[in-house]
Amino acid sequence: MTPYARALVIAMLGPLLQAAGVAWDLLEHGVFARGELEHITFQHIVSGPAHLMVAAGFLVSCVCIPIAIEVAARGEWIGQPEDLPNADESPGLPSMTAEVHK
Amino acid sequence: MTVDPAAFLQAAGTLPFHGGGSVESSAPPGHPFFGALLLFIGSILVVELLAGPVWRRHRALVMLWPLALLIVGLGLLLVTDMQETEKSLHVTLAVLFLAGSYTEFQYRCGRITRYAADAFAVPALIVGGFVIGPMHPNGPILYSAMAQLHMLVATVCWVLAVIKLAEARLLNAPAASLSFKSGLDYSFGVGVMALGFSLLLVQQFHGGH
Repeated sequence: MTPYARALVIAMLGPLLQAAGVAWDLLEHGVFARGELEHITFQHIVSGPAHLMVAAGFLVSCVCIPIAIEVAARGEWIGQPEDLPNADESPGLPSMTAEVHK
Repeated sequence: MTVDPAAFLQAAGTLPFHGGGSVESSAPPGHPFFGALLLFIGSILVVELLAGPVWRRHRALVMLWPLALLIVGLGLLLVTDMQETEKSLHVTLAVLFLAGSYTEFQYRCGRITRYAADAFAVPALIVGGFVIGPMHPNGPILYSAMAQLHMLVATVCWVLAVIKLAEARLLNAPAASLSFKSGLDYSFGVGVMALGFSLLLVQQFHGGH
């Protein structure tokens, strides 16, 4: 799998989970349990499985989107070795530079 | 054989949503929070494999998996304290999660080998499956949706144990098996996601703990 494909999967995992949660919620309130919309409780809002799935997807996005950007950037460096950051200029990156040179 | 969509929707509509329709359980809901946490951490395990060295450069991210196990273990202790029934089952699960958190933490700190960590994980997953499934009082398996859902959670635990066992067997395998080994690693992450999803399903048809 190319670094770009990896970055895309990493970045899309959270949004996909959120989309699945929204679809679950719409299915529940729009098809299976229409009448219960009038009896929504705070407990249901906080602990509804579909709502928690959306929350989990949001957290996954928060953690993974910066990682996806980093993976994509690293892929770029692998593709173009001349663009590798100079270790003297970027003290935080020498270990990654070394990994790419391996 | 034909399926009548109207009859299917009507049957689905009679299932007890939100803990039995208007009847709210007095116990605090635990299933959905543990489910969401496991769904989150399962996704993180998959991303960890996809990101590779980029992920391992962040020490805090590497420790997310043992931290999640620790939170679930402490949460189960809280459930044990607050819920009056099934205390022994919840304590057993809490101890398994806390011990699992400890072994995974030790492995990720480089103090024990993967083999040693799996030597605990495999029996823990098997025992956990029995505690969640057959030992959990849910009514007759053929007629109770709750019993069937708990058995689904238990089955996911056993599948995870089989994956871990296969991983342990391939630990020192030749390079030719690397892609299969990598597939097993991904399967474990997806399996943890499935465990979380099955717990969310339990909450969908049940209010309780």
